[in-house]
Amino acid sequence: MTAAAYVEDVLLVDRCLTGEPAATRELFRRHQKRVHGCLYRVLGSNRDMDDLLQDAFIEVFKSLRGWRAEASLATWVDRISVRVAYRYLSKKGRRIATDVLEDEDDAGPLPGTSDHGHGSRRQLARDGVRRLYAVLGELSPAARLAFTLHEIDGRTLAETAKLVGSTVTATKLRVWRARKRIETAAAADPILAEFLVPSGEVIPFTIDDQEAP
Amino acid sequence: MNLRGRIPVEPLTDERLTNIERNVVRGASDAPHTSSSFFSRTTWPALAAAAVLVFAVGFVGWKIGRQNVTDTVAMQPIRVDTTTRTTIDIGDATLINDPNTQLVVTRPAGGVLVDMTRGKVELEVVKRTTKPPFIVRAGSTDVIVVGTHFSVDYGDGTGDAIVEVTEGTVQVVRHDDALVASVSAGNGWTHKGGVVSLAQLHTQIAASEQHARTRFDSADMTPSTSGTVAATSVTVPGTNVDMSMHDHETTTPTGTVPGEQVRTTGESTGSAGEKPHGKRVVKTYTENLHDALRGQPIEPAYDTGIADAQEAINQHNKAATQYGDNVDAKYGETASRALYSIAVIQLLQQRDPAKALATLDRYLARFSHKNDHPDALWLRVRILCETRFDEKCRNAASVYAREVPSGAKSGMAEQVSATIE
Repeated sequence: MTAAAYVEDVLLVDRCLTGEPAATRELFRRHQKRVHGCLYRVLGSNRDMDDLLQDAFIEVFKSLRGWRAEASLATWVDRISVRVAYRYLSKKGRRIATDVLEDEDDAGPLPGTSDHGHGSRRQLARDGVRRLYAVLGELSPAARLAFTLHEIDGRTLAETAKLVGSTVTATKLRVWRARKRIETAAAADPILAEFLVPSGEVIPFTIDDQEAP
Repeated sequence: MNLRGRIPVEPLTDERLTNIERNVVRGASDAPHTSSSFFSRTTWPALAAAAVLVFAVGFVGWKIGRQNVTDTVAMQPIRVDTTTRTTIDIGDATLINDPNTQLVVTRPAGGVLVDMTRGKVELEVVKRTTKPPFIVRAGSTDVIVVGTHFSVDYGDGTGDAIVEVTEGTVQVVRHDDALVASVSAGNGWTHKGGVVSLAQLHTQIAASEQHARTRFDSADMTPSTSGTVAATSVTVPGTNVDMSMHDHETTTPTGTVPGEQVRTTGESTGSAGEKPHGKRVVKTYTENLHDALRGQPIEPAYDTGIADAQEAINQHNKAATQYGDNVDAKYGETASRALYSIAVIQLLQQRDPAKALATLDRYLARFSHKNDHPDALWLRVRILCETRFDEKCRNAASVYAREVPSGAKSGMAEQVSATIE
């Protein structure tokens, strides 16, 4: 974290602590997209996302006095969001995760993608994602968090460990176990196997806006 | 197994996002707040150290830059003496000059100095982090930038500068009375009024008529020779914007911008970082805000040259249909402009806000990054907030503020959306 970023964070937090709504909004807007992305990748769905995002940010604001500026504000916000996700997964149990992406199914091309003859491959990818999250739903919340943060959200093991409040070794073990569990499931499920090791051209699967250039 | 970047994030709709934001702000306001700030506990020493570090890095960068000054092509002065609105891209910043603006841009030792003689300039500056400072000088007022979007209005060059910040934060330093102020996004600064919200600033300006454009009309267009870059500010006759290369030895930009002066400024900013002069004003609903909102211009419809409103819509409809029917070309700017124009005509000429709103909804469902997109969002705010600041109005304003984070309209939209508190 640069000194300038640190000063910026501190000034913003200070304004939030005085109860300034504009500062609250600024903090929310600055971190909302990243937190949403992180939670989405953990859960695989926008179902209950409104509640989760609200819970995460309200907890951020309630705990703001506890921010000691040892880590960047972004990391601290992420840690709280992961804690909220953990509580959510623990409370809802494993069943919740098995129905991920069902509501988005058959909704046409994914936003940001255009159909250039990849319809069936995209459907395959979608099925693959659904099956992946179905398997993830069978994991413990801690293992699921470790796996999704590291393997899907792309965070390093050290960062993941920090976010889930665990050691790097324990996190590595959880990721490894989750991977083994998924590989076992993939052995019996060709669609999942195909998704995990995509052959040939990778279908564009990114979210942009709804416009093509 | 490589899953990184392969699971797309389904974006939340604007409506959901607005609701979440509102609930978060409401929830946050329920959290206990005290007047004693974060600084009072543990962070002052660390903050001071960080501030010292920032300015030390800036100063070292400045000094290093001074050593390499003869190698820097970018140090060539850019002189602007324009009677029309011009946009200049100088690489790390974009300057949009109002008509009748006179200024000189130099790069003393890697920094940037925009020395204004008169007029108004709007700047978008790329984040500078550890680069030497970017300074806009208007008489005895220096505006020091880290990376932001703001404007400086120096009128006819005889009064005080008016600073408006739409993004980021700037430090304002007045050498006359050693005044230092930190101005953050959504706020403005005048010597008399200090730091105030942009809406208040606009109201003040309108009231005192200090900002009247008429003063530009009567302004003397003779190039000024005052200021620290006097030797370089002589305008080439017949040239509106002079961006030609000059020999640095004859223009002596470093010599005319004393390092001592810049260093003093840096130190002043250090103290500004610790003790911001102004405080952001939280706007509550007032009639003035309503008037200010109505006072903001609407981008006009594309001119088809047809006086009859319905016929003009038909013409636009043709363009919109033509592009809308063709899947490959449905993203065209023409379609965007046509749809937006239809909405404007429906509102302003046919006086049918409901129809205009429906057209805008069609527009927004289809386009999200076209040139007219911000104007369409603003038109929606104007329609929905015409009579009162209700839920729909605040939603529209919130979306505008989020999608168009800079500009006077954005500041206003921000305040309208904040009237929920």
